[in-house]
Amino acid sequence: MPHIYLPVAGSAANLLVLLGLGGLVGLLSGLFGVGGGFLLTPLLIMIGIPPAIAAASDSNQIVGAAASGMFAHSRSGNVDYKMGLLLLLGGVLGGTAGVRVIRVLLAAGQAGFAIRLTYVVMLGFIGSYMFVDSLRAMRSTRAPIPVQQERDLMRKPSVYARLVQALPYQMEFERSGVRVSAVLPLALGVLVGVLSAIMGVGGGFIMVPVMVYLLRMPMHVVVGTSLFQILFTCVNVTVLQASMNHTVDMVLAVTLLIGSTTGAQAGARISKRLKADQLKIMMAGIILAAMVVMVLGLVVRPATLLSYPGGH
Amino acid sequence: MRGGRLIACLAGLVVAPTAVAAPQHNDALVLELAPAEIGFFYDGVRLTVACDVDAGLSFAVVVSGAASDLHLRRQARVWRTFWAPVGEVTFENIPSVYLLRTSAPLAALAPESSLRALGIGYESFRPTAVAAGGQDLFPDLIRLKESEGLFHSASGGMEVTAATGGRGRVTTTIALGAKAPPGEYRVQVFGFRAGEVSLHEEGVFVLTQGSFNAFATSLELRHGLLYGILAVVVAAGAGLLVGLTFGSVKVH
Repeated sequence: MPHIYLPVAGSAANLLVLLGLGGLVGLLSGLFGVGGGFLLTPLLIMIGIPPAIAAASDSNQIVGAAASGMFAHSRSGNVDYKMGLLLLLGGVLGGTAGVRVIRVLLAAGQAGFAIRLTYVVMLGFIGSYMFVDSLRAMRSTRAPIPVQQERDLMRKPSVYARLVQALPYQMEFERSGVRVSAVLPLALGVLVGVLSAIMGVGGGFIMVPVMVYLLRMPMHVVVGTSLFQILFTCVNVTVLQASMNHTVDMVLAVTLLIGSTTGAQAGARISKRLKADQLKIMMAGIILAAMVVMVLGLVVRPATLLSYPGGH
Repeated sequence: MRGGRLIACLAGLVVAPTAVAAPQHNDALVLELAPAEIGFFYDGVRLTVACDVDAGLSFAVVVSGAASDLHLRRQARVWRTFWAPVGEVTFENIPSVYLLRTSAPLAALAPESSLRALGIGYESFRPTAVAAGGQDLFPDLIRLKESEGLFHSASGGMEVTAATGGRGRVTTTIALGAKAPPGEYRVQVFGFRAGEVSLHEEGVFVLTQGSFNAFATSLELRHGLLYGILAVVVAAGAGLLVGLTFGSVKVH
């Protein structure tokens, strides 16, 4: 089977495996309508790509996927640039901080451990949440909420809503049709930027639900605006990782991108024939399985008690 | 160059007088590399070593990369749960690559002290001092390097063909893993008779990167900012191209 040389990783990888991993993650992305970047980095680590290079190169391939999606949404007028710029400002700050954190961890020889640990926490959280949420959704289709209870829920302003309204720097976002504090998208951007640098993710899996549930933005604007923020956050992270940590493998990124874009097309077509809740539970199962593998990698005694200090 | 033959050492054949009891011939040592360089498609190198020898000898072939001090992280349990790097360990004068092929088990070739002196076997570069804490991590170093395909030791896999006048030719093929770094490698062929060295031939070959890999590595290390910008432009361009071809793709 053909192997390609990854010049920055300094080793070769099976071309079909890389295309397959990219394709699998793209397929899941197309099937479930949620991101798969958070799944790609652990999969790359599992096939022997050093964690720091896996995360940085994943950020690089997300640039390609986000550029494509952002371009389409921008032409349809589905990007809230005002909101996107605030998210981006936070993302740049968070991403810059995250790259510096990785630099310190690389110097201390702890980058791989920190990336794995962050993934265990995030995959555990996301997998469990998706699993419970899809179970709840399946039950709710069988037993709908009583009408009176639903009305009560809609009438009462939640603690969260009161908290958000109390925040300073309230702004009007015309495109999204919402009024929220500028602090909220800034903070969200910082969080996603940090995660993007450490985990090599776009952050869509956090960004989209937060924009829908916390910022109350309409779905069509959420996707375009999220892509806008993700694109430029990942551009920033890629450039910083390359210039400061030397961990971006362009060959790896482009190979994964070819696989993921092809897989996403196939996934989008297959998803039309399958039931959403069952798909969601399947996705949760895959995420939790990846988390278990990562946990085993941390708790089982390694074959050798020595490791290389950097990401190489 | 891929698939080509690199014939080294015919001109630069070196006989090491200190290691050889009585070299009887200036035997030709021929090294062939396939592929001859680290190209875009690459899964390590197959090195074929062929050497003219006397009949009735046992052989050891050693392929080694440049030696240097190796700084590694020692892993231990933290918080009683996770295995994580906890401290640094330095091994002095460790070859980047060490591949050994013998025609018989090491113990049957020569006494251990002789093998050590000749640099044959992992034990020849075992540190004399044990690391702080009294933990012998040398076996872990060997396992780490073996897992990367950079160290290997095996007996067998040697073909000896008879020629005229009591002479013959020993041939073996050794795989260099894809993680073997570019650079100069030393190849030594030892011949043993009755536990004594009676043949030592030595040559070198150079593993080079193909032009694309050399360019990418050099740009990434020396001009990281430019490399980062290029990586962004290439990924964005590829993404836009796919988007225009198939429609937009979902982001991760």
